[in-house]
Amino acid sequence: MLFVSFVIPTFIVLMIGVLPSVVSLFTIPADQRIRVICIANLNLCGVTPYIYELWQSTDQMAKLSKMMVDPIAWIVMYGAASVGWLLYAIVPAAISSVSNTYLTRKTNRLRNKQSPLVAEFGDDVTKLAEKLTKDSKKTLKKMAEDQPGNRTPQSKKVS
Amino acid sequence: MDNTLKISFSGNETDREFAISPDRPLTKLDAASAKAYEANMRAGEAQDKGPAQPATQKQSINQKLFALVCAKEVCPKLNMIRVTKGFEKKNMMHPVDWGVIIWPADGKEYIAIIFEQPSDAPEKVMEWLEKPFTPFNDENITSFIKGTLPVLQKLHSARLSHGNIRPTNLYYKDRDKRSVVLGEAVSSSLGDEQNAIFEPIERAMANPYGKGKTTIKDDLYSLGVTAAFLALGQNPLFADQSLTSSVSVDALDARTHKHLYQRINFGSFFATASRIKVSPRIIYLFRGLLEDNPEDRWGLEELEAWATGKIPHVNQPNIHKNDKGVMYKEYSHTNLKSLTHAITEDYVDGISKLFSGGFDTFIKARIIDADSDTISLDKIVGALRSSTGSMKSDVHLARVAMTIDKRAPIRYKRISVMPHGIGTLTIKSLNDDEDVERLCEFVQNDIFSFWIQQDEKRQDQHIKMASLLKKHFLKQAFSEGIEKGLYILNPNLACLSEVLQNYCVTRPTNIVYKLEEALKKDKKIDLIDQHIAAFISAHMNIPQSWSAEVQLDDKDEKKFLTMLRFLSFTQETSSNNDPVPTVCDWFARRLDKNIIHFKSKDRKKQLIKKAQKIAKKGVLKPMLETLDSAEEKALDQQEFNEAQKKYVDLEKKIILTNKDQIKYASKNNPFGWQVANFVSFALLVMTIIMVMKG
Repeated sequence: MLFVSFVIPTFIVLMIGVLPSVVSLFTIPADQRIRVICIANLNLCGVTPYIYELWQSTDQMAKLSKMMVDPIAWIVMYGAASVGWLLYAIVPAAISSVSNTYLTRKTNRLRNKQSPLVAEFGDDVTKLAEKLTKDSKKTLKKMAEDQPGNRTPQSKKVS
Repeated sequence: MDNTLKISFSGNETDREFAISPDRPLTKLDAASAKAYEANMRAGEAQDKGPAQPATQKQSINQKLFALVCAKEVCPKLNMIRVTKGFEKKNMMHPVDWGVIIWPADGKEYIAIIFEQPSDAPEKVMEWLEKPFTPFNDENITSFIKGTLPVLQKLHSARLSHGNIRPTNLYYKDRDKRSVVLGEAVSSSLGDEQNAIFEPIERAMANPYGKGKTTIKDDLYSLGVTAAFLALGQNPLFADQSLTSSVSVDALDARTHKHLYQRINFGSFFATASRIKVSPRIIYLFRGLLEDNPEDRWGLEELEAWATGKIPHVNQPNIHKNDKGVMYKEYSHTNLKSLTHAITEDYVDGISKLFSGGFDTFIKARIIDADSDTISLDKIVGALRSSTGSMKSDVHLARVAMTIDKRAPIRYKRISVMPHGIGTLTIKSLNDDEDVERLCEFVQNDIFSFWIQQDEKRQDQHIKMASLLKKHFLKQAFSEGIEKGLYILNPNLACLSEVLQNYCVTRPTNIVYKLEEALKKDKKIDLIDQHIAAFISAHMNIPQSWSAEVQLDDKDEKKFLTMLRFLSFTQETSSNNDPVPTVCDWFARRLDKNIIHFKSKDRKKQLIKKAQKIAKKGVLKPMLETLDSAEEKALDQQEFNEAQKKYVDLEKKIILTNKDQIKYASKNNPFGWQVANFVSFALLVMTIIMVMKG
């Protein structure tokens, strides 16, 4: 009786409320599956108040029925999941943009330190570094290819 | 206006100064390659600037003077001038002095050689080689020989020879035309002025410029032919004609050419003097002097014996038994020497003749006992039949010719040269690219080395020359090449650089001062010149390393320091050590171009500035030391190494940054995900806490 009146309503709310996270788990590519954590966290943020509300209620089944027909509840739970999606899209892009700006500036600063050397000694001064630069280009290209999201299907298989 | 040129030279030995009058030519005293002008000696010290006075009034010189003005290309025999200046001038026109003058007509420098005039009204015995003159009787010929003998003895004792004995170089000493004086022998060392008729067979077979230096035996042969001319009163080659004017050069050449083959086939005496009607005593003189084998030809001892009334031994004329001979190229050849010469003269046709089937058998059948003293017929047949393999046919022809006739000149294609004539032939070859190419081929194909191998005696005498040819002629480097070979082989030759075309530079220590003069007149001239570099390198003891890395086709920038080093060395070695600001300025102005190779631009700029400042003093050495300082170069290299290391370190940091950029700046970077996850988790925790608190 306790199982029917307490566990089942909670389970149903959870099942229905975290449905966006479950869908994400199956639709997002394997190498980006870490996104699901972000979506799930926010999704849970939306579901948690309703579960708590359910637990506070004496007639959970009645409360459950009431929630099922309450569009606000649906909007809150699924909206929270959407915010998770949004967070996931914005935060890495923002961080990428900041890092990019910082590292570009750093590179320029280093290049500016090299310029006077070239101006003074000519292109000969770069000769020793030429091999290094050539090798690094290959490494950087490989690194860029190996980045999550840039991998070819074959590389995915290998990884 | 004083229309005379003053020349003051050999000043270390004498104080003599001469005045040459360009407006008073003495055509009768012209040499083959030099013009004669009246000259006077100016008395006293160089400070004495008084008017020119005839030498007869003040000096011990008994005759009037004249100057032969020679072009630098004819390479006057300067060593011989230096030695014979003091010789008695009774029977030969020995030089009085020499020097370099600036000719007013063209402003160029020429070598002028001062001689005493042979008489007050100089007259040549024979004006040109075909012009008849009053024949000399036996007594006059004897007198001529007796007068010439001490001259030749004196020259021989000084290890010299005349090389120019011919009737067109004999002058009457008096108006009675009873005695003669031998003309000059120093105005040219090219040898082309001596007609082949006056040369022994082997020298006559060589190119006019490839005859090389003469020996006393060659002089004695020329003396014999000259005596024959004097006895006949005309050229023996034109004895059948009475000429009143000169014949064309071609006609003379054709007769001389035909005469050469007659000499080879029947002997020089028989071909030249056998038909001259003179006393038996004079005939003996002809036979003794016109002997073709130099070992059997009379020497000075025999000639002296003849002059004292004795008759030294003479060989019997050697007329070949088989006088029909082999017909080839218009001539009948009774011996292999003649046939070989004909084949090598026209080498293209000669090669096909040489390698045509049965030629050797043909020779064997027709020429019996020919030249048994110099050749082995079996050896020749062996040479002809030897497998040529990869050897070129013209090289093979040259080798066969050398095997057949060991005394003959070295013949290759159109080259026909005596070993000592390679130097003078090189002077002439320089004007023609084809000739230069042929000469280099001559060296490259080891023609000279093969010639040396034909006789063991040649090893000691010529091996040095063979290595010299190989070392320089084929080396394509700045200051090397055929130009350096040219100046080594012709040590008296003035520098033939176009830059110095108006100057006659015979000593390398003068060159920098002449360049100073040339630059003052024309600042556009280029001092980086292969001839100048080769001239300095050939005459001075210059380390090989100075020019070892500079190739002929390198840009001028690379040659710049080498040339500066060369000229600095000549200025340093020069005794007067005068400044050369214009030359220094020429180098200084070019420093702004990318000539000096320092790695550090700042250092380079500073050094150039310093060198340009030094250049104003006109001394090349400090300028060179600044630009070529080992200390500065070491510092420059050190700075460069440090800069290179710093650059590499920075490059490593850039690479690391780039890696970070790929790692963190990508939209898919894990850090972004982690932050997003962390934020979402924080929100979840906050939500739970807020919900729990109600």
